[in-house]
Amino acid sequence: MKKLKVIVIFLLTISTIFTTGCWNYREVESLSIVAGVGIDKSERQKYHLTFDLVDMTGGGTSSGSESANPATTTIETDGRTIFEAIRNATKECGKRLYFSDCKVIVISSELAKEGISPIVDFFSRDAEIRRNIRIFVAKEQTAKELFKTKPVANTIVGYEIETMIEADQKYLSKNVPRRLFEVNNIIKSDGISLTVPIVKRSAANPETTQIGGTAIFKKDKLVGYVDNDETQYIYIIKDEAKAGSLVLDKKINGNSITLELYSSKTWIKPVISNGEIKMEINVTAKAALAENETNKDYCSEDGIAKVQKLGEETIKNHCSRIIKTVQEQYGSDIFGFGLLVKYRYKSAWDELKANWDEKFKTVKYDINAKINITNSATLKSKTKVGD
Amino acid sequence: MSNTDNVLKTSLDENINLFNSIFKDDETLIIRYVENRRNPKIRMCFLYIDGMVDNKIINQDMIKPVEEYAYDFMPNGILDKTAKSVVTSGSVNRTNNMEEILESLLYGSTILIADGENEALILETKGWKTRSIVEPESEKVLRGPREGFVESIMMNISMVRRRIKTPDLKFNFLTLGTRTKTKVCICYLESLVNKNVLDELNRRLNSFEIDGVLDANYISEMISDAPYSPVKTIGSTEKPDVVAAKLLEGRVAMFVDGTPMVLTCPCLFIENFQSDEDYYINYYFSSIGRFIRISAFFISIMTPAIYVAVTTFHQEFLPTKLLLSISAARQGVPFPTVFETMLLLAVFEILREAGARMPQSIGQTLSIVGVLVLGQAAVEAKIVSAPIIIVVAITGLTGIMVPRIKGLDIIVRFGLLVVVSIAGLYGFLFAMLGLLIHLYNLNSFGVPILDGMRLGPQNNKDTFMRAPWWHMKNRPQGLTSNIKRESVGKIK
Repeated sequence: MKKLKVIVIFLLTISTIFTTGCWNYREVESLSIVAGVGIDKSERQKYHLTFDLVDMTGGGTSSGSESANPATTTIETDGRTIFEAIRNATKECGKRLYFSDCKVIVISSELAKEGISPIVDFFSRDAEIRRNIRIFVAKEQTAKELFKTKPVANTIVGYEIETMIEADQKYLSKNVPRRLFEVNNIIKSDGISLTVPIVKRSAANPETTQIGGTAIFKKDKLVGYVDNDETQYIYIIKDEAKAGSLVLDKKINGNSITLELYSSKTWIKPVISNGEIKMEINVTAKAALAENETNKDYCSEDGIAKVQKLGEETIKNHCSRIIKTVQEQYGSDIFGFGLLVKYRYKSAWDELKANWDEKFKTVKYDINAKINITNSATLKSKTKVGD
Repeated sequence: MSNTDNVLKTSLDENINLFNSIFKDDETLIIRYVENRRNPKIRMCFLYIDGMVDNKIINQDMIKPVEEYAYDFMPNGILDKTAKSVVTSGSVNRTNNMEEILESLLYGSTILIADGENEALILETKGWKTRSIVEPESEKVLRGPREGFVESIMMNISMVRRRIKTPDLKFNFLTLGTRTKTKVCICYLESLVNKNVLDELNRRLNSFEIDGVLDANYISEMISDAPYSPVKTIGSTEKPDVVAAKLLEGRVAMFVDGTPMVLTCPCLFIENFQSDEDYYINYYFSSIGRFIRISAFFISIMTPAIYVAVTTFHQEFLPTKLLLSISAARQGVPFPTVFETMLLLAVFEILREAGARMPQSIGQTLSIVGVLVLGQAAVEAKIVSAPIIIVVAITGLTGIMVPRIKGLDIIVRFGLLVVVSIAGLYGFLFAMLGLLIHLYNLNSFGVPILDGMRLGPQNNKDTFMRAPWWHMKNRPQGLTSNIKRESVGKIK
């Protein structure tokens, strides 16, 4: 009896080994680590993929224990589907491509205009891809060209794009990373449209890449772009901005004042009255006086109040301008107003849903901004110029 | 010795012949024939083994008085008289039991036989050289008593006796080893000892026969609860203060003659992580030490296995930068990671074993060979990768932090490594569960060895941490018949 028990336990244990997930023995060095994938349209077949690989050989100069900085190298493949193209990559490099440390997917604008849902489907389905991989659109160049640029602060282009977008959200908030799972969620839900950050070659230094602007989607198709500086206000409205700088619109004697935003919180309340949809947008921001080019000292209580007021106006103006632009030019609800209506007016939404795209263009909005200046950095007064 | 001729006769010459025949070809037996000066009819003979006795005692306190004492002639009372008023020995025993006589003779006593008596006197004259008391190498402390046991059982007993001065402390002697006749002493505090443990120990000690007992481990292995398990169920220490502390918790100690190790039982698993110094320094600091030792054990058994599992099965676990640096280091290394790890762990064990056995003068050579040749050169020659060196270094370092379970540590480490190379972290989990189940199954003299770690505030005051003395109101469970520490925390 006891023997039987032992045998049963043994068999159960062994059988679980063969029925659990996928795993296998593979040495680290047998993997070709992919840092980023670029997806372009191919002329002959549907997809042209560019893989940004981490080159472990160190350019053949690595000697002994000192591990040379891994360099970046690319391989390109064609395929009728993405999966086929990835498998075709084995022909290019002997090792198996390894995607768990792939950080970015760059989709060319040409493909994005045709719809990104097939691409999103593949990457969401694949087991090795992480769900937080960042998605980008290549606006001016092809994705392939972008991966052939020279990285600046990193040695691998894919990882540099990743650090750029993370830093952007943290310190600038002009662009916010859009992750694979978010893209997936936004595409499938109604009442909100997708925005994806853009990567392009740097204007000043064409050898390198930069992040610039936001691509606006309708459903899963690219419809347009928003210029770099205005994107900040998109993310303020979407409550995704974390920090950033705010240059006041109003110049004093031709000189500017800049605030540093510490945090910004946006709360939108949709109101439907008489068939008219109105968004009450409340922005609350904490800021510091970061730069004062004027010859006036704003460190008094009145001065601070004045700067706060100017800042509030700036936010108000830009926010309404960007909403207006999006409404008129693209008619794509990137702010997720529809979603807010859906949550608050469930029954009304059922009617609005059908032609929300048209309705969105007529949505009224009322923006309230509140800036609280907590300090003037390390200066108590204005830097004086002596007589 | 079952020979019926082996009995003492009344004739001195016959008896001398008897001893001579027993100790044939053994020239260490010394037979000293004595005649009383005043009464030459009184003839006696001292027998002793050279080197086992204190010659000064024999010369001055035995032979001289016997030669010079003014005996009346009384053929049947010579030994009686000698025992009572002539020799100045602390312990005098009169017997005709030949077996006892021979045993005492071989253990340093002097035998006195007299003409006309068929009995003998056993005189206590032990006096061999022993090692002096030094600090034990294996259990060094920075603070606390430095005395360590020596090879003489009586000296060891005296060291414990000096620490616990109560008649409650009992010592029972028995002899083990059919040939070595090694003295073993069981020691306990009667009011604290768990009678079941004591009975079980006595039963086990009487249940086996062995040729010789040269070290405490001979006995430890014979009476262990789980003889095939690498986990020890009997504790051992070289320090009298540790033995005293264990006795005070109700444990039983076993002194074995000829070895500086004293066995204690029952032995809980947590005892492997307890150091006597924990109790001699501030409790905050010793709690940290305890915690580090326990973590060190787990780090030591797990690190190589987890490294292999993560780098060969679950690369997704690694942060990108770590993956890149490991991958870069692995480029061009010819062996699989598992083999590489095993190789270097084996090298470490070789170095450790070599270090433990070598004379001190070649210590420097060993470190140069170990560090430079094996470490640096192997990495530079791309025979092993650099991260493996770090893994093995951590493993080795943490492994020697808990020397008491060194054996278990090495076995489990290699076991895990083998399992992990087949089934990754999944196998690792199963192996660890297996280890835990095994530990939960083990008993030491009826006490589960993980008993010290059951949940509850009183039970864990001396396990993962060391509480201040006034809080430790209970003795560890299961070890003692008297769990309350009556006098702890009482303020006079």
